[in-house]
Amino acid sequence: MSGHGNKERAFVRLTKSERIQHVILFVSTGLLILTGFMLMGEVWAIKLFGSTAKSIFYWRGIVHRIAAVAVTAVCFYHLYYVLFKADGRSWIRDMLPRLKDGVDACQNVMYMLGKRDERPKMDRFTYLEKLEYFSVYFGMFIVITTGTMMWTQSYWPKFYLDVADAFHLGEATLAALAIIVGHIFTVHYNPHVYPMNKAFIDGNISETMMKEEHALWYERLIAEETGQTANATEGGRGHA
Amino acid sequence: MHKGSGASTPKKLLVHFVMLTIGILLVSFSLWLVYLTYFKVAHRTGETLAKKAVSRLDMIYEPFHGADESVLAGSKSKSWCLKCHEDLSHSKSKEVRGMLNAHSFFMACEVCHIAPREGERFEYKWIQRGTSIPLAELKGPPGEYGGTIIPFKIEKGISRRLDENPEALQLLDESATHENDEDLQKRKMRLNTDIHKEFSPKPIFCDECHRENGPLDFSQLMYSPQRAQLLTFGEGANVIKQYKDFYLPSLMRNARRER
Repeated sequence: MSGHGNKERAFVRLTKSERIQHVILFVSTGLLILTGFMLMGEVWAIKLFGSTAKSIFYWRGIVHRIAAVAVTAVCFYHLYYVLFKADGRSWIRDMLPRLKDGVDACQNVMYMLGKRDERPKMDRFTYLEKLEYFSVYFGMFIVITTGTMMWTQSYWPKFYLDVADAFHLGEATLAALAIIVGHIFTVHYNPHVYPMNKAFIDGNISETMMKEEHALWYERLIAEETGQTANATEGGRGHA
Repeated sequence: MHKGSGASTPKKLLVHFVMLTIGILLVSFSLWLVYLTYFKVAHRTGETLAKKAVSRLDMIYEPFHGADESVLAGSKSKSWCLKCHEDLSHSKSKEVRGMLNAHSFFMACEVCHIAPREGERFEYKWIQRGTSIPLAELKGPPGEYGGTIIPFKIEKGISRRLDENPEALQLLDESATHENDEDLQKRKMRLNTDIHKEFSPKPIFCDECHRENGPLDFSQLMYSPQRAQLLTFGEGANVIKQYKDFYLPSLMRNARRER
């Protein structure tokens, strides 16, 4: 816990390892989106670069592959992290979907429609965060598999490469839109966090945010802090 | 908790400006992705790729380098070399002949079969099929540009097309009706030597062109930057490099055995 004097109290949202994984993930994914969709670029726009377009496209392929290796490495490390590290095990345990997520989703929609006075109390990860997290697993499986196939194209029949190409592009489009419309709005343009949720930098979440977004988790941590841990469920982290 | 409220300071205004700019860029990019996915009729979108893949289900055993469109378009107007060397002039190697013959339908044989000597300069142009008119641009999908890549030898500042020999064409016409004419046979032998003196029986290999700074400048040949990159470094070029040993996927081999 931090927060002596006038400073607001903060809780640990992301550990150092998780923040590093996230940085590698978003830098690599950004590069992959940029260098990948360059192949779909409008010819007139590419011609604006003149003679440098040739060099740009040469480096495009190299950067795309380097970023692909980085994102694959971080995905495999994350699997190791959630299976073998204490913080990772706690992370995945809290991330697993539960019946309550469905109830939360319904109640939250009711709240947004004005049919309910209060938002549901959500745990460490909201139903939307869980959906986003497991979508990344699904998406990564698709793009890594099909990307690897296209990288080793001489070993595959044309039919499979066409299927891989279609899946790779389709999933990349879906992921790019999900990141821009979903994730970037949530962590940057949402009035609650505008201009950015700094948790990905300092790893902390403020007490106010905790109460608003993760009330159930907050209550559990406070209960643990005040010694009422007997009935508290396992999981969660200490305070910053 | 609503941050960003209160009096505007220069710092806050700067943050708003940066966030607004990034937001506009991201929304524009998203709209472009939606346009690509649902509205653009292009050679390579998710939907067209999916349709192409599905349409290939019944052609799963077709050759990897299936370039049917190129072959069909090219066969309508072939190089005059093929008048003697037949339509499918490459026949020795089963693994590569399909790809080589497919190339012969959109580029003159001399592109590969000349061996430039030191100091010799060549330029390559797309020429409209059946004419001597250079193409102004490449329209349509690859293989259906309606032209042929022709090498021109530059001598003393003059560009000379290598695939034209009116005498040879005339001789071929005469041969059809005067097959036993002794004089004609002598002219044929002389011309045969003349025609082939600039040719090399050993052609240059694929990766001598499909590489950077090769004899063919794909940008100068009016390919789009993406296509030029693909031909220089991408799928095509990589396949050529990796296929130097012409490894055929096991699926193809099994298909052949089953026949």
